[in-house]
Amino acid sequence: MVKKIVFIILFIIMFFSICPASEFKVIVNRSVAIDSIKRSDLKKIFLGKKTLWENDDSIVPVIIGEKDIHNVFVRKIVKKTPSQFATYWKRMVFTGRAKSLKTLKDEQAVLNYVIVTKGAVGYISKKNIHIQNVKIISVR
Amino acid sequence: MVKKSKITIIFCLYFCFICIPCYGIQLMDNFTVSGFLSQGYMKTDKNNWFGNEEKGSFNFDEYGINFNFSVDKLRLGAQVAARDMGEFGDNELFLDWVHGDYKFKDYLGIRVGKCKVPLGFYNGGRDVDMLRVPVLLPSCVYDESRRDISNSYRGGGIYGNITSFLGEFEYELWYGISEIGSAGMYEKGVIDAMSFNINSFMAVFASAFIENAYDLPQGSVTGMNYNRNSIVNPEDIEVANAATPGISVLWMPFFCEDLKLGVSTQSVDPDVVIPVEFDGDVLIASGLVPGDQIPFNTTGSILFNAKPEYAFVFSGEYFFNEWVFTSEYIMYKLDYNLIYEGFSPFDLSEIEAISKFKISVRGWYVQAVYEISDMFSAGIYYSEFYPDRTDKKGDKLKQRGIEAHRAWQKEIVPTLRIDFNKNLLLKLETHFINGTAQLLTDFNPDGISKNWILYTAKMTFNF
Repeated sequence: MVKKIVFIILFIIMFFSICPASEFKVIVNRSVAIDSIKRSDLKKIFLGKKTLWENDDSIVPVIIGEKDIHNVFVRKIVKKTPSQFATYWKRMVFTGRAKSLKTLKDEQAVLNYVIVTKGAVGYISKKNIHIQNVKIISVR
Repeated sequence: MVKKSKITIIFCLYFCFICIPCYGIQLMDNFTVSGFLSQGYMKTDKNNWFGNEEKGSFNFDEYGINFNFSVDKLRLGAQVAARDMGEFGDNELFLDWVHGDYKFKDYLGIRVGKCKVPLGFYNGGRDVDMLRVPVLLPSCVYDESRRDISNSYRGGGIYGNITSFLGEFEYELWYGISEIGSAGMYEKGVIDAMSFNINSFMAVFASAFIENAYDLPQGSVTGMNYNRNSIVNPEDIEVANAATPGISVLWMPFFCEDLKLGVSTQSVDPDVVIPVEFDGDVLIASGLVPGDQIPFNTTGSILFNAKPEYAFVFSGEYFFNEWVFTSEYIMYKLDYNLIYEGFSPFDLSEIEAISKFKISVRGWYVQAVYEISDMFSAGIYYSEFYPDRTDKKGDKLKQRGIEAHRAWQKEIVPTLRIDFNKNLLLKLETHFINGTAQLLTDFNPDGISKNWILYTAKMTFNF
């Protein structure tokens, strides 16, 4: 009986912990002097808590309007549901803590923006797009 | 009012079919505009909370628009808003916040202007409906009568984010002036509390004075007879701005990134001057004077002189996938003197004993929210509020002739939130309430019922 209860609890925990398979790359503008980033730092960037790169340049995060990749990114990196993430940012904006996140409609727009914007950081999927003129960084 | 509500709903429905970005309108790379518009409805089965909910009320709305402009580490922003909450707000435009913000480092920024007070998790966004699942925030911590003193401050502060081996800390220290303003629920609450004191005041002095002046035996005065509304003229009440420093610290511990713990405190020093006119009759024991009563009239003012009051809020929040569990606890002490002027021919030196008050207030809630799908979220919270922690059962109030259930307010509140899209949402909520500690006598002239239900619905459009 105890084993059964433990199994059910573990199953529930596993069920709620499953994330969709992630296939995204984190890209930064070439001015950004890093090759990798800790997930916790990336999370802070997309929550508006880390706003400066090590060389004191402003960080410009950009998110993508396409639901699939955005949902995977915020669940895996920020550890929030898309709805929690949106509410978090609305709270930041409407209480005067930050300005809205830059949001672009698709991956190509994100790529183009990161290419031309100093300090920019974004994410795009590993497929469907030819990545060039930006730096791809790994997430530790 | 109904016409205005209809217009609001039509606007909401109109925008329902328009795709507008979730994160505000970005006019330029460094200039964004965001806004919200809410219209609600409240109905109680008994009692009135903010005005006249027993008959149903659409006087429950909020509007706001803000802009943010940033250049490198400097950000300028402002939000203009209006609200109507029963008898309060009346949709008058006000500057909700306006400030300049400069971030030297992630661990040090400075913010100057009119800023929101970071008291508890939700105080800064208490007027913005879409930032939460419940329609009404738990009133035990986010008491509407304290909104006037804890909503915002005009001044400056520093803030930042520090990461250490213990985890991540967010802090904010500020000092400023709280522009309490008159005609708010804070003022109304002071008047309501004072009315009991005025009763005591008149009873003590009328007894002493009348018995002496009319050469009556001690104990001849049996009571007072007056209309409370004739005592206070709300238009003449003066509410002073109050100095308000404060600190807020959040801790995201290293061992659990889904956990957030916080403590925040605000000190505030409010003074209110209330003109009083007593016009009534002193009731005398049978047979001592013709008609068994003596008419009496006097005027003066009472200064509600509070010592700096420190409110502490302890907060905790835990995220578990689609679940969010939140709990907060508030404690503060009201410590004030009543200073009387005028009231000829009373001898004011005799009222020392009823001029000082010290009351410790407590409140707490636990809340669970579950995101069922992109469209539906459900939440429930339980809250308790005690305006005097030494009288949780109302025994002291009963001795003063006041109903015991004014000593507490306990609520169970289930909510359903429906997000039709990123810009439009609807909430439905019911409050099952036991106790009446946060109700005003003035709104309930026919008496107050111990057990009551509040139904609310609110529709919000935001971009």
